[in-house]
Amino acid sequence: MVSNEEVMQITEHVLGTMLELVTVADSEEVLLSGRSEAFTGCVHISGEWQGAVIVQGSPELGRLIAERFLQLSPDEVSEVDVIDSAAELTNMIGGNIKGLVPGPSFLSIPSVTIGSDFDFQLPGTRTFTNVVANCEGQPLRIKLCESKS
Amino acid sequence: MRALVVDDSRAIRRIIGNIIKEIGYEVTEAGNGFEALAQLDALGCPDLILVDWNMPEMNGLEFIKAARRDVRYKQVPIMMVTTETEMDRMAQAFIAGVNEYLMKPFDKSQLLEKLQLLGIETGA
Repeated sequence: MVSNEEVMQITEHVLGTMLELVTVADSEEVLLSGRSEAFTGCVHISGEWQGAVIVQGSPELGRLIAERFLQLSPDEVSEVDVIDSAAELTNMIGGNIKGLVPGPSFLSIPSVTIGSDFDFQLPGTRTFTNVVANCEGQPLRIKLCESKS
Repeated sequence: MRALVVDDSRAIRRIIGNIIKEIGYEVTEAGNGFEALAQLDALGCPDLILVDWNMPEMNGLEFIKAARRDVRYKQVPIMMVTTETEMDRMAQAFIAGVNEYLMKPFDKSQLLEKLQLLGIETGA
C-alpha cells in the first residue's frame, strides 16, 4: 500500500524543505534503543485506514531538528524544544503518509517520548513499512504499522 | 499590520511568525481554535490569519467556521497551513471560508508566494 520508497521520499521532502537537512536511505538497521535521549514520536491514523506512524531518531538528531525548527543555537536547546520539534516532524511525516492511504482517514495529535528505558508497543498492529535513514549523519527510523482488524 | 498565527506546534508558530515579521507584521499566537477566538475577542480583527487544521480542543476548520459566522471577521484573509494533503480536505477548507491553502512541509518562498496570492506585498 505504502512502499518504503514512498516513506523515504516523504521523509526527505519534510526534512529538506522545512529544515534544509539532507536525508538518505541507509541499508543498516540502527539500534536506537540504547540511546538514553533518543526520541520516539507517534501519530495515529484512524478512519477508512487504521494504523500509526512512528518516527525515532538519535539524541543528536533531536537537538538538530530543534535548532532548525526553533532557530536556536545548540546550547539553547532544551528537552522541551526537542519534544516540540519531534512532535511536529512526526506530524508532518504522518500527515503526508496519510495522503497515501485509503480515505477518509484522520490524523491524531502526535505524542513524543524521550529516552530508551521503555517498551513501545501498538497492540493489534503489524509493521509493514520500516525505513532506516541517515539524516546529516544521524540515525532516523520511520515505521508504518497497520491495524490487523 | 497584525497577523494571528494559530498552530498547536510552537515550532511552526516560530517559523511562520518569523517570516511574517520580516514583511512587517506584528504577530499574535494561539495554540488552538479556542485560544484564537479569545485572541480575536481581546485584540479585535487582525489583518491576516494563518491557521493549522489538526489541533486539540478546537481544530482549525471549526475555528474558521466560527470566525466566518461573525460579521467582524468575514473579510479577514485566512490561510490554512496544514499536513492535510487530500483534495477533499482542501475543498472543505475553502467551503468553510479560507482564502488560501498551504500544505506542510513548506519553505519560505512557498509561504511568501501564497501571501502574494492574497494580495499581500511581501517584497519578494
